[in-house]
Amino acid sequence: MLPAYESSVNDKAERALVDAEALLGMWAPFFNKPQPDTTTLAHGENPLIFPYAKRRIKLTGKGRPDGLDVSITADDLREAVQILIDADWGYLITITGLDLGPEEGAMEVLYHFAQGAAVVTLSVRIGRERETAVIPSICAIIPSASFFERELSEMLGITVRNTPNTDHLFLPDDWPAGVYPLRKEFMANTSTAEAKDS
Amino acid sequence: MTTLNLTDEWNVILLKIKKWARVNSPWAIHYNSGSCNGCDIEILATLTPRYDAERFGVKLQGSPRHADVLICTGPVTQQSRDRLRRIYEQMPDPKFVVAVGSCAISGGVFQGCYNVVGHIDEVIPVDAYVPGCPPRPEAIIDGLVKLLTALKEGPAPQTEDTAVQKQEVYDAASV
Amino acid sequence: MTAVITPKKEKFIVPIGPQHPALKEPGHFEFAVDGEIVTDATVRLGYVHRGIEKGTEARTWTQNLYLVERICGICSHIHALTYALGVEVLAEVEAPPRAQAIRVLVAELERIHSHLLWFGVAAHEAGFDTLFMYSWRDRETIMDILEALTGNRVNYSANVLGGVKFDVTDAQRKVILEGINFLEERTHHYLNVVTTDSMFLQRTRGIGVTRLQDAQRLGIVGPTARASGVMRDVRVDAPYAAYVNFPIHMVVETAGDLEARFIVRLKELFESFRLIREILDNLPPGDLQVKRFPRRIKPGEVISRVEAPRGEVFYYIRSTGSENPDRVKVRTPTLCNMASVLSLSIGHHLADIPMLLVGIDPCFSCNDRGVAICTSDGGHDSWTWERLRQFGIDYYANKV
Repeated sequence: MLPAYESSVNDKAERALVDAEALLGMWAPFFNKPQPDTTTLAHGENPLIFPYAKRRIKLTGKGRPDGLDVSITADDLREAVQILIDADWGYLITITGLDLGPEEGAMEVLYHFAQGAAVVTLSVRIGRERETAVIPSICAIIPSASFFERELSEMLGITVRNTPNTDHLFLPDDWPAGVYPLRKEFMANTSTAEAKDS
Repeated sequence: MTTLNLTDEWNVILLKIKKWARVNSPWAIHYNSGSCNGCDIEILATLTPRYDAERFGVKLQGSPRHADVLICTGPVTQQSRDRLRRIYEQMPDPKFVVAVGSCAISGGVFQGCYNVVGHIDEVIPVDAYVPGCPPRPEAIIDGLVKLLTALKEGPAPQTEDTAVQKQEVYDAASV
Repeated sequence: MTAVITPKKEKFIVPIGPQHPALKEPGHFEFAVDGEIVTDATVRLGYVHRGIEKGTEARTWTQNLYLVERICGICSHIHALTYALGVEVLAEVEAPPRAQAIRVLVAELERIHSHLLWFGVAAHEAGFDTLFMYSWRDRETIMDILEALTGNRVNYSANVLGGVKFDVTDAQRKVILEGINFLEERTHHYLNVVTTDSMFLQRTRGIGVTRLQDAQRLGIVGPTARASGVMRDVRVDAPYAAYVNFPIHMVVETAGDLEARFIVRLKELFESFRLIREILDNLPPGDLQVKRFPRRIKPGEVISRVEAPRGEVFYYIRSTGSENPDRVKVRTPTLCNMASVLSLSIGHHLADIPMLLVGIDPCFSCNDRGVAICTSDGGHDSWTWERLRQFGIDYYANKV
């Protein structure tokens, strides 16, 4: 065990997170709300949607506090991303789209930023219908986000407003329109032929 | 178009020469229809000094129009399907296909995933299967050599025993 | 990568004839050229899209270990490792120290095999086939070691949820150390070739320069970023598994050109050799696996990041308490680095494109072997990769 090395990594992560909290300070009044007890979660219930809560998820590395989750609205998204980029806080790792299912009636889009060991995740909750599954593009701030946004729109049917390129990234050109593989209704073991018929 | 009017003896000799050239120096083309690359790097390893497939006369080159053998890996993804057919059609007759890897034979771990067709033999006819995930270079060479031997001497005749065994397995499976 | 796509007459589907064995995954690059200089570049991926992320939702936690291993054959252990580490955090189980050390051992062996593989391929793209053959012959040493240790040359399946499957015996230790010694000598030779051979330098020095600010802005990861001076390495920034006990030194170059990328990867080999010797000398005693690993994983989310030979692999895993994961999101490094190649290629000669592409070490699950060239006067041509590669070789041969 090299305690000095490990604690220095932990310290750096802690400092990076404190910086991030300061940067995202306008949502500060909502930080430090009591956390829901995840063991009592009903199936499908997502603790991340607890509005504007700060939560630390344990990332790889035992006991290292290195994750900050911030839940914001779609309107605040670009501002939050701009703040992080202007302050040179980290880089965008990727954008994850989550379908919470038809009962929940919502989807989530997570933007992960990393600085060293610290990861800040901005999560935005949107609806599942065509009118409500909309999110603004961040390509004007981070051009390389285009790939991730293309994946979001083809896999989950999310409309990304003002994204420069909406071609399919991974799915074939002749994939049936309106069929979104990562949605819960699309059964995991559907063969392509069945997808085309559906 | 004029046809060559050869006597039977000449035809036989010509056929023998063609077969000799085809068997002793098959030109191969390699195509990846969506694999994880595991099989492809083992195919590439067969060219490198330790396994050196070129000493068997197998030459891997670029254009389908020059190839005798198509070495194909990967569970066929939707996008690759048309390309695979097109490559196969561009190859001049007689052509042979070797399917390398479990994915090429049955879809491997990706069976059931959307966007994956699965077996290569649903898209093009296959002559030799080399199972493995990925198959070792020795196995790939073995598959190629078996194909070449079959070309030279015809496929290994089925013995009494294997035919009977196959029938038993078939009967048991259909119960 | 530009935001505006130059309008094209038709979307060109190029008949693919894999040029050189290896890494032929069709994909579709389109370069708009003005004479010799590239003015725009786009890429169409998706030819290896197998629907794995969706597939993970239909398989149990353990079955997924085998599925994610086959996302990429070259870095399969890394994918399994990232997944296993993430699931272990969710299940609040920690693998014993010996298992973590063996995981790192196999990861470093995989890094060696991957860098040597890349080196041969890069040499081939530059027309230097002798180097390709030599480096792949040397790579066989590592393949033998991996086979002796794990039982397979590719797709080693070393991980189980909660530990590893096998131990390192003394005989294996000897084999590994001998192999490493041999390879170290060879790597010195390759480093020498890369930094002194004039034909090679012509094709790599000063080509494809990515400045520090651009590398940071574009989110490039891995040795490609480190070649531009970006100090980004998950093994150092966020040490996982046994990297806390066996730290690694980051290898960084500042030039940002192709030559720097070669040098970074070769120097990383030396780091790997050093680390492997250290681990073998100090393997912690103990179990190889935890006694029990739950079938159902508690609800929660986890982010798992690991340094693959190509850069950072990121997994986001979500569980809702059942036997199957709810969501597994995988982001591989090549996707990020691909964006940088597209923006880099603008302003470069067409002849440099093959080397630029190979410089990011594309995990050929995204590589492209069909190229469409659009000239500024509206001409439209399609080339095979082989033709583009040969164009590059001839261009530099005639330049002398």
